Amino acid sequence: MTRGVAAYTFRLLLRSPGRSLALIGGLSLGVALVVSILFFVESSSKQLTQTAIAPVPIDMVGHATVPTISQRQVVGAFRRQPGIQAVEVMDAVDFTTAARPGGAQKTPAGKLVAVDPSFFQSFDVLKVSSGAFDPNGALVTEATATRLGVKPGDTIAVSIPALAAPYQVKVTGIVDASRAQMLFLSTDPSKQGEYQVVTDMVVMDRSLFNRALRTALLGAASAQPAPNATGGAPVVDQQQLIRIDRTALPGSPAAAQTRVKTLARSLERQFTGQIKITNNLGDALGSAKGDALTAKILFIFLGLPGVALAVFLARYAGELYGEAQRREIGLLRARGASSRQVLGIAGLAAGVLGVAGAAVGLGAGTLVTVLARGNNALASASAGTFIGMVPWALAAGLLMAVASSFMPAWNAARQNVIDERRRIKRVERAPFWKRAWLDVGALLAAGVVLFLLNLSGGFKPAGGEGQTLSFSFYLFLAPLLLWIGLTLLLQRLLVKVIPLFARSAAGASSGFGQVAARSMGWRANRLTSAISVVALTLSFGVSLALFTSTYNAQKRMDAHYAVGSDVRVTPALGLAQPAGLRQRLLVPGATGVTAVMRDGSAVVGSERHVVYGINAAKFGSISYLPDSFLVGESATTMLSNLRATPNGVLISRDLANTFSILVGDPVLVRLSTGGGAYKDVRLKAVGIFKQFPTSSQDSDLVMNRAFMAQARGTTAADFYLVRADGTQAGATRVANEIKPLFGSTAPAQVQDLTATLATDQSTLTSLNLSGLGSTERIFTLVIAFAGFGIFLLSAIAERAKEFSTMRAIGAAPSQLRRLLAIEGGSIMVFGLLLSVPVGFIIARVLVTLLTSIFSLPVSGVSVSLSPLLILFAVSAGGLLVALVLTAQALPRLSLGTTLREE
Amino acid sequence: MRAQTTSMPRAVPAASLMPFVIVDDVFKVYREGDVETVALRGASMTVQRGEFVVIVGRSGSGKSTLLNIIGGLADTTAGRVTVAGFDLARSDEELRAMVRSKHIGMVFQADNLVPFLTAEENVALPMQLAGRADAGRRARHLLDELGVGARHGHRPEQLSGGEKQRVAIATAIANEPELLLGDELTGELDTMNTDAVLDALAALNARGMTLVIVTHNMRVARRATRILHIKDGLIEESEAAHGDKS
Amino acid sequence: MATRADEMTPPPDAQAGRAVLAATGLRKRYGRGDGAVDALRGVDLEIRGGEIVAVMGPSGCGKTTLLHVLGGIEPADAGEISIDGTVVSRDERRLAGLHRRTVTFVFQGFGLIPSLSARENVEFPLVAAGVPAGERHRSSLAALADVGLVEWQHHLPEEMSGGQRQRVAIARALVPNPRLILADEPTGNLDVATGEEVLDLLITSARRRRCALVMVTHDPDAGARADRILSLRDGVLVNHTEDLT
Ligand SMILES: Nc1ncnc2c1ncn2[C@@H]1O[C@H](COP(=O)(O)OP(=O)(O)OP(=O)(O)O)[C@@H](O)[C@H]1O
Ligand SMILES: Nc1ncnc2c1ncn2[C@@H]1O[C@H](COP(=O)(O)OP(=O)(O)OP(=O)(O)O)[C@@H](O)[C@H]1O
Ligand SMILES: [Mg+2]
Ligand SMILES: [Mg+2]
Repeated sequence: MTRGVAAYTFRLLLRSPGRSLALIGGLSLGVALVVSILFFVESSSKQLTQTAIAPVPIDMVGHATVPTISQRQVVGAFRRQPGIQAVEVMDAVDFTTAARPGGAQKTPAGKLVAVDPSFFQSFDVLKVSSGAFDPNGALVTEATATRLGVKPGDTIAVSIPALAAPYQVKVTGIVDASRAQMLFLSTDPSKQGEYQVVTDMVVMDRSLFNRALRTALLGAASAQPAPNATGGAPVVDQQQLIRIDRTALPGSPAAAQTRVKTLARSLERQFTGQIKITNNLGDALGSAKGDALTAKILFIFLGLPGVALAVFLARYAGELYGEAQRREIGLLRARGASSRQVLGIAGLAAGVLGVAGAAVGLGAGTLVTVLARGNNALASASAGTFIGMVPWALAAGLLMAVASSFMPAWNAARQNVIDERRRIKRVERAPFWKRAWLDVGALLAAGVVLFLLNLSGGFKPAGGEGQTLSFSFYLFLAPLLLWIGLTLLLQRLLVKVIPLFARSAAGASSGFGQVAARSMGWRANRLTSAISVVALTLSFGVSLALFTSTYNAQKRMDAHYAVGSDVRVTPALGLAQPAGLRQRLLVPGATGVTAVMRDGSAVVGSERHVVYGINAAKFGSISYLPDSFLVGESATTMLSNLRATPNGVLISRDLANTFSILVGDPVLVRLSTGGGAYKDVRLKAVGIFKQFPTSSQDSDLVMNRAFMAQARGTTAADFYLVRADGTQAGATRVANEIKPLFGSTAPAQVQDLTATLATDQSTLTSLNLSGLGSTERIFTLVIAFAGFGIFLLSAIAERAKEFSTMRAIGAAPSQLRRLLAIEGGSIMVFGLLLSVPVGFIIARVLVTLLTSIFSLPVSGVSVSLSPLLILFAVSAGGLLVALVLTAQALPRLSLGTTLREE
Repeated sequence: MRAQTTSMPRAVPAASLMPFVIVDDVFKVYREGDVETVALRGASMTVQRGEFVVIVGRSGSGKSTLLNIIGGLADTTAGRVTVAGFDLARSDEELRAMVRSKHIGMVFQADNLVPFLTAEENVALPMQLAGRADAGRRARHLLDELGVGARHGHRPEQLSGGEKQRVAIATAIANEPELLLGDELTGELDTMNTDAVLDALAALNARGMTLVIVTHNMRVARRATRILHIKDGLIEESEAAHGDKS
Repeated sequence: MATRADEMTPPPDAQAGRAVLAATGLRKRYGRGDGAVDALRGVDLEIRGGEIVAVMGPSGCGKTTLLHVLGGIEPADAGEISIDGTVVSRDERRLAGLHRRTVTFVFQGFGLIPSLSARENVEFPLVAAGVPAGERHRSSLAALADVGLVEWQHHLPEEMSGGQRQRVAIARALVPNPRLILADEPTGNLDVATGEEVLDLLITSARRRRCALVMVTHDPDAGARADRILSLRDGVLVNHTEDLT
């Protein structure tokens, strides 16, 4: 490249600062958007990792598979392993019952566990709530203490099958085991991998255990032939509880999982065949991994139109100066510049602009991220993240620069010089896309893709362990094609509509209104681009707002579905319920309570199924049962049918299909009555449902509670649903009112909407979509503002001569401002109006595509007005500011210089 | 006469034996949607090396179109154009660029100067594009010669009409072309400066530069060796002029 | 405003030969420091009602600058301009207001607004002045009739030839019934024959309306048709009393 080319290029960039800045501004917005989406993906996956591992109390648990290992040796080896923070041992033995010697009260089966005193420091799953952990005594859980009426100082007798006589030990304190659910894996083969809920526990010091029980128990164990071979657990479950250094984990769930798995494997390998590690952390990360992938896809979907928009803006900024660029290139070529030189100039200029745009965009993206989500958004990002962002920013900046400033130059360099020099006529040949009907083609293609996706069951991100990304590539195609098609179609239509509009406006007005209308008709092309920028930008905002409100509504619906109502109260299993519990649950704020009965081991045909008993009269008003959950009938009708038929039953569609049951058919069900006994009942199907609130999987049959109670011979409710006002805050308030009712004496699980939203479902629903929303809202505003501002400023620059002439022949500055205001105002109004339908269409497609992130099918776009109105108000305000600011530039036109140019 | 009827355009060895510019039965039709404007309808002319030819005609008669075609800036619809032995109308853009850079200087009716470059930079531009080392010095020299040296640092918007025109002329002759095509190149000059410019051009002409100038100005026409009248896209008559050779 | 009736009664000072516009000590400097250019270096002049004045001089002597300063397009650095005896140069607003009504322009490059038809272009100064629609319509048609372009009233500038465009520009300069028209090389972009027609039209229209005309020209023939020639050289007037009539 010659010096002449470089010198020319730098003069071009430096001496028309307005133009360079407009282009850099356009580019940097695109880059900034890319950067902030990347920041978002980064910090989201980090957050997903955190959310996933936070509730895991014990990272890994080692189980001895042979009774003869040396716990001390294992612990020593584990502790030496890098990345391990703490290792504690625990020996656990099942007991059949515990009682006071000679007492009548007995506990159900429970666990006797032995730990070192340091256990209480290393893990906080067990907490001494009264008394003390004594090497010569034992702690009992609150449930056990309540059942047996023991207090510290009393003695209890624990019956263990392997022992000849119950083991007697002194109670030295009470332990709070409410956080110990994850200590024991279920031994029930049908619930493999699930945790076993143990309410009655006896906790003793390991030294005492070793002295008093170990030999006897292990002796008994070795007497049993190979305990594992029979599938039963060893008599003494010798565990190592492991806590790893979580701060050293990588941010992304996938990487973190790999790390954790490797660690677990290297622990197992040291004691091959002797230790089996249960990797709680790995499992949690596994489900987060799928979610992180989905989150990435979600962000890309939501961000993609934004990036397309930014490219459009850059293109448009380039186009505004295209005229000048073409003229200059024509002149260069007339002066003997070769194509190589022309392209060299265009390429160098694009390169400089692209790099500058990338740099500014990187800064702006960081700034917007901070603005939208506060400082900690960055704090969580390392320097590496930032550096990793640089190539992306550069690539985005350069790509957009090529699209916006190099490609037009490339075209100009290949055309006849004379055409470049004499573009006196504004009528240009229709662009390629218009002649090829690319817009309609893209829309049709988008439709086909959507249709095919629908046929194949839509978007299914592959979660789960070991599975790889297996979603369809077409998925990305649909919104992209839709976006491109809508953009181009909008342009095609606007170019036709604006002159018509302008003509009728000119006919209807006089004076400056007429002048403005004529001017708009004359500049239909320019106006089309400007309106498109504003409309598409705002439609982007609109679609996001609509998607977010749908997402939130859906999330709440999911939570309502899982909880059953606003709050669910599940009293501890097998405990006598306080009298008048249902009445007492009607705390202030609660509008209704209904009891639900659950039989988890009923049998239909030869399979086990879950049967619920509800109060059909009240259920409808307390639970959330939308009609869309049901097949063929409204919720009111179906519930009143159930009520009218004492032995009526509602059946899930799956079950109905399996057994070919139709409404009106008899259904034979064996209800369990406890202790392995069953009672056969003959029910009558009165309705079929797709989903039924309270449970996401196992609500197979729903019958009248009264009938169920009579059949099973018990009236005890399994849980209660409490309705508050439907909001998260209301649910939390009611839940907080309810919790103290139980105290520590009769533990009950109180599940409310908010907590469910936060944790109970997949980590995905905890995604900070509103954070993304506010990031993109800022971009919506900035891009609309910039696009509009660039249009107005370039309009002033391009029409300097015209405006100056108007001034010279009598127009006052205020009149020119009015002219600009009318033109600008029309762009605004058109843009705002068009953004609504376009935004709605895009939101609809997004919701369709992303259906599978919700556990319930989505019925449509939920419109919540206030965010939309705010969006409109703020953008209208922003556009007005742009208008006022640019109007200020009008009086500064230097009439003398502009009128001198011929 | 027409040595190169076929094949590749390439310089004829005995270039001096043939006319420097040959325009042979050239048609130019501008198409704009459904509207067709015939700007040239079979124009023919030849210009010998070293001639000073003036073209006159009413507005819209096709003068600028003709000059643009000779300068290789536009294709012909039909007919052929040869400049310095190169078949311009049919060659590719690279060759045309080379011919423009090495052999032809042009002054247009308007928009001659790059708006963000100073007068001096504008004049230096074609020399830099051609890779000349002394571009800056020579640009200053040319501006001085045309009486606008004092304005070398002004951008086009800071120049008066006549000053702009003189800077444009300096730009066109910067690479010492063999052929200067001028479209109304003295349109905005007063008599005194017109004479000064004409003197400068006459000196170049004397040193062998061929001049083809479109003008309305009789002062300019008087200096020509030949005057061509163009009417409705046809070169009607060719009259010999006295040619005020100095 | 500009109605036929107005035309019949020329301004009283036209016959009296009183100055429409007087300027003393006008100075204008462009740029600063070494590169500064003194485009006007003390210009005094007086334009009497209805007279036709040609401004001539070498390129770069300040003709365009003078017209811009007189017409209020660019402010002078020093000096005084008075219109009809009222000093206006001190007060930009007043200057603009007065100019709008009494001084109009014809540019070399026509200066038509591309989006407006011929008639709308002619109407524009009246729109800016807030003249009611009916009157605007009448006046603009009358002005177009004066330049012989009534049939072309609905055409856009790009559909007209250079000569026609300049005639529209002349109609536009005439329509507010000004006291003075400033024209900078009004025939500069036209071929000889067309240029002569346009110049003819400009001079006769000005004379008919008894409107003063100051035009910059390089054409000695055009200069010969003026009442008076102002010779400008290096920013000062030389023997500007030269009266050709
Ligand atoms: N790019 C173009 N597209 C369409 N028509 C054109 C184009 N360039 C020129 N014309 C038309 O071709 C004809 C000849 O134009 P040209 O510019 O050659 O005339 P000219 O003799 O130079 O006129 P002038 O003296 O006004 O400069 C005119 O009718 C003009 O409108
Ligand atoms: N913006 C500016 N900055 C610096 N100098 C300027 C500027 N505008 C004009 N000039 C200088 O002021 C001088 C007077 O310019 P003006 O345009 O009035 O000349 P003119 O008499 O109209 O010339 P011409 O006949 O060539 O049009 C010129 O030398 C010009 O270079
Ligand atoms: Mg021409
Ligand atoms: Mg001038």
